Amino acid sequence: MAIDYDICIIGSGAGGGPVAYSLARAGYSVLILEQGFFPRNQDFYKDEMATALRKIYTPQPQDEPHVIEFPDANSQWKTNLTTKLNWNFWNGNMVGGSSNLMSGFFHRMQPQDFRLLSEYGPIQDANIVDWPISYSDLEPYYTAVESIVGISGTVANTTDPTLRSTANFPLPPTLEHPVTNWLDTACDQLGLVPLKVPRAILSRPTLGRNSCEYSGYCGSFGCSSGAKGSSRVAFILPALATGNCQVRPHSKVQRLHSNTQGKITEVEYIDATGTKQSVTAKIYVIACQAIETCRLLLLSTGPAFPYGLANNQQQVGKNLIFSGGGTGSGKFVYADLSPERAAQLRVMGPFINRALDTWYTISDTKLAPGRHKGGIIEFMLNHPNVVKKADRVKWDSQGKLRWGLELKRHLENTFTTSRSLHFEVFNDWLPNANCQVILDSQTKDRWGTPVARVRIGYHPWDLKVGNFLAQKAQLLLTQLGAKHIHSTITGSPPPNLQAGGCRFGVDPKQSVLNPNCQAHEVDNLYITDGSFMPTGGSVPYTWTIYANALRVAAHIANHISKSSGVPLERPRLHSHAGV
Amino acid sequence: MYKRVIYTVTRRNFLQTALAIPLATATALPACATATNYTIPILQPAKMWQILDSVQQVLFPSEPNIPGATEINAINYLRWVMSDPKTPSTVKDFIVQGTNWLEDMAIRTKQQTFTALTLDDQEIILHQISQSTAGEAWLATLLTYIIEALLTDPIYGGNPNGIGWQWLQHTPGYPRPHDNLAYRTLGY
Repeated sequence: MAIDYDICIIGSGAGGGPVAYSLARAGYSVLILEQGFFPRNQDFYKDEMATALRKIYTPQPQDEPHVIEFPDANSQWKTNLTTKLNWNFWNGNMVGGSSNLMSGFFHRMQPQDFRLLSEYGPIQDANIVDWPISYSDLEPYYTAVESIVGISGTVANTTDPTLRSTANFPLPPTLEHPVTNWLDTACDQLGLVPLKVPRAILSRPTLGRNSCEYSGYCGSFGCSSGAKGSSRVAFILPALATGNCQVRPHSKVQRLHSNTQGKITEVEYIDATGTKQSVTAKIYVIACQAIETCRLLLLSTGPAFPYGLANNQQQVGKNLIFSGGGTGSGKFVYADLSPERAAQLRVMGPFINRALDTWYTISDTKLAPGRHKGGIIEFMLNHPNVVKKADRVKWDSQGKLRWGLELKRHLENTFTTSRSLHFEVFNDWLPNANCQVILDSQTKDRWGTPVARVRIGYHPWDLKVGNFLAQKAQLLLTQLGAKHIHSTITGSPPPNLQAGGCRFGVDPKQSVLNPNCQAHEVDNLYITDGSFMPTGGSVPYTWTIYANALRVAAHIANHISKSSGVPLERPRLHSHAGV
Repeated sequence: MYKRVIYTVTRRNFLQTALAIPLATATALPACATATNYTIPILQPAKMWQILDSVQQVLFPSEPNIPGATEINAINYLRWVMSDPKTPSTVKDFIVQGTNWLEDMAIRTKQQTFTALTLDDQEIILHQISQSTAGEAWLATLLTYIIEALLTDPIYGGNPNGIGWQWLQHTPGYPRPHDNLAYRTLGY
């Protein structure tokens, strides 16, 4: 039987784009199946209605819900649909995935993140393991991403300067907000050294893309200039330009079929017209984001896989992780500031670009004796979405409705008298037995397919670490002179920071994927989204997913080359480096 | 403070707390209101929109040089919301039902249609229904759409010439949407 493509990739986000980029440029035929639509840069506006108030970048909740199991105040498990919870675990279903909507805070994981167990020891009820690869295995690909995506920043004071194989980033930092100086001064007064945050945002035109226009509307918005290094603009458009790659948007994959030998034989999907289609390839790559990747495997039973594809050891869906931590803020009242500083505070557009990684490892008895994994604190000004913020003003502190003149005075006070500086704490979400994906036995999506049932249990240690870091952030805000400082560290997961569920490892009984992210049980299957991660580090995942996907693409190229007996050129990771 | 609004409510819930107060002091209910077979009148669309317009005026009144419901085109914006396929039908039904129930309450307690009441009496009735979970949810829903009319891009029908943005000193991002076609046609 004729094979349609060398590689079929399901999902076009951070895990799918780099694979398409590498293999299309190496001369392989690549097909990408994407559930969502194919946006152009000019389709993105700074429009809160489209971005936040209505759901146009994710499925309608009633059509494709998730079932969430969550602990209540008494630690009893409750179950409800996302439609009832007004919660959404979909993230940017379009070509390029949620990377179109990211803020582009780009951090590498640090070497100790790859050996969390051996570096910090076990924690009871946490399924901590070391990664089967080291930082040095991934470092060349982190570096390749810098050039392909166009990462801006400056190497000044990273915790460990030996992390990098190159001297500096290919692009200078994006413009910084006047408040950044305030932060730097306060850090200096406290004896802290802030991290200058790299961004996946072009600070000058290059790579066929425009530079940032500094509208002040970045995270959760699509980028109309193309400066943001989404999977779509950085990887998929160059892949399409090779002529070796095709994208089929509006293609909802239903299942992968496999034979008695345990090899995938075809992908079944529903196209834009609602018609069932199928396609074949030598290699299949799944990158649908952790929850949906697990769901697709579990749905894809076959003669050799009664529990779902690659799931004979029943590891698929286990050890799902999110990002631990939370948020906080402090308020600066214009009337309390000099006219000059008030004018600085009002500036819209440039970025804060500062974080604290001082407590990436914590040795402080206030947390606990010994050395412990910590995390980072990222700073940013208040998000520009105004409607949601105003809508919250209609409730008073007692939960009673405000309206009339009382509401109007509170709106004026909220929006015209002050501005807030926010922070986000990122720390490890420890993998545990109560955070997993299974199929729901009752709820089906609009195609009649069982939906994912997600248990979102967290480890109490995550909150201790998160609160420790939040207190440090609050001290900095106090030093800055902010008012009304507060923080919220919870076990409520951020749905946009998913990983795990198909962890990689050397033991097929304890992992779904081998160190190359190839399924232990399925020779022609690779998984390249964040599902492979057995632990998540304490930084946003996107750079690591990009880098790992490039690493896996190299293995896929070798795999196909060996299978066909034809020596093929190694994917050219650095040749797109026009920066 | 933030509360999640639930749209699956009943008339009983909408009125239960509210009616406890006025019925105790009601002196002259109309004959139709006291009949055992009385049912809530289903309002004609024009009447429903008049009532919603009046409610919006109370919830977000105009002031000199400060926009209110009239200046932000809140009623036209609400018409757009009610016609938008992306607005859940549960929300649309809830707004309609709540308007019927409010009118029922006005007739039962004040013997007049809501739009004929003085501003003070309208305010009193809205405070009374806000004491019930459903009544509060209905008002919260209308307030959400008033705030959207105040601060979303003018292409959606509210916030003419950015009047709401100017009042609250909000700087919109660019590029702004030049029509609502993208919202209608892109994505899901």
